[in-house]
Amino acid sequence: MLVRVDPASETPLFEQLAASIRQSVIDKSVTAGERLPSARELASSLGVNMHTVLRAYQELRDEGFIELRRGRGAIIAATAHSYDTLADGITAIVAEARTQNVSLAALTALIREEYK
Amino acid sequence: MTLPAENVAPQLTRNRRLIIVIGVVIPLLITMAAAFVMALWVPELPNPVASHWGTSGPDGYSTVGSVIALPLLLTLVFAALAAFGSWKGGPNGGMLWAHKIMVAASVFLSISLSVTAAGSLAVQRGLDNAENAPAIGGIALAAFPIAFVVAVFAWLMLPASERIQSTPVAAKPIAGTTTQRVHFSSTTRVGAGVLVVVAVALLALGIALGVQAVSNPAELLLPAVIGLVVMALAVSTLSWRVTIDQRGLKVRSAFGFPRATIAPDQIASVATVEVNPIGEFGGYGWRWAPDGRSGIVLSKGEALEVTRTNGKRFIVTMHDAQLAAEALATVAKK
Repeated sequence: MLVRVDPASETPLFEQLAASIRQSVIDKSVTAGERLPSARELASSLGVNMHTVLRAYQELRDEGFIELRRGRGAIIAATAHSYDTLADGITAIVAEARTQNVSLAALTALIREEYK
Repeated sequence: MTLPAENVAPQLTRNRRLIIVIGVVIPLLITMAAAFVMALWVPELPNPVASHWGTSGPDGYSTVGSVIALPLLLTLVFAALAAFGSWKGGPNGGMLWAHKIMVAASVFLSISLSVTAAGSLAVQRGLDNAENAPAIGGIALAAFPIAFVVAVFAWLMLPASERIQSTPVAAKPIAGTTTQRVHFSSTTRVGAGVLVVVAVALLALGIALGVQAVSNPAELLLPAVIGLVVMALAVSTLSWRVTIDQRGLKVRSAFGFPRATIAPDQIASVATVEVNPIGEFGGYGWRWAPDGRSGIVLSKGEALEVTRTNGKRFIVTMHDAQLAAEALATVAKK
């Protein structure tokens, strides 16, 4: 599993971390049940605060991507791999948005509106 | 082995003839000749004969027949193993160095066993009681260099080893800003086939230690310590955790030892390469290849290859080697 963060970016570090791990689950470079590095390990490895990693892990747990277990650390949740049809749908929507010259901001606004 | 000039048989056929002649026929002829000589001595030998020596003279006895038969039996089994193992040849019809090792080892085994067996009987000729048999340490010491020299000759008679090393593909760093930091982690482990072989070998070792514990508890400590260390290392090296970050590449076996680290400033280049464990490294585990490469060889297929600044290459077989190589290239800024 690959995790990338850029401390110089304007996006908060915990969001970058969560996005990176989420992406690994969606593109299947990690499989269900695989152990994630411990928060302490990942924090020292990336040179970020441990609470930043924990916050990202908690967000991913709330989204159902990972399971946090006391003493066992974080593992990829068994329920995490159900994004295939969604990903296909999004590919189609983005392609459609491009042909109609709809901007990313406008598209996300539409999705946000629909999701409410 | 010189072949007639008109011999135009395909390479594989010629190699198989060499395997049969050098790996099977010659070792069996050697052991049979030794068995014949030993059989001629039977009337002059005590019964039973000494077959095992301790620090203060003989401490194990058996029949002459078993001393004569054992080298034959072991050589037959190993020669068959060597022939079967090397029969298929390399992917291009040549002989892999692992095959050559097996054929040469067959010669080594037959000579060392025959010389030791014949030597141990030779010193007992004319004795009434095997308990008076002199020490045979000198014979055992002489047997190995003799066998080694002949095995080297056998090796030289075999064709040059086929090189099956695939060309490494240099990895590109992950696109991104210069301030980005990456962390890659993955677990790589042996396949089911290797696992079965290791389990059988460990079971055999366990049984051997159990037998020793029952039959000779006084001499158990050293074999038990060595046996348990070997078992622990074998189990530990079946699975490795690979971590790549700004501190470089870290590989750590299941129990934390053995482990290895390569710092970013020691890395000259990063690539992916296809690896054939048996053909290139002669097996699985933490391996050294004759071409100077070393690394964690657990499965056939994709591997991460790191070339250090001192020219040494280290490899780790893993299913996500491509991603690992890109991450390490990013870290090493190569």
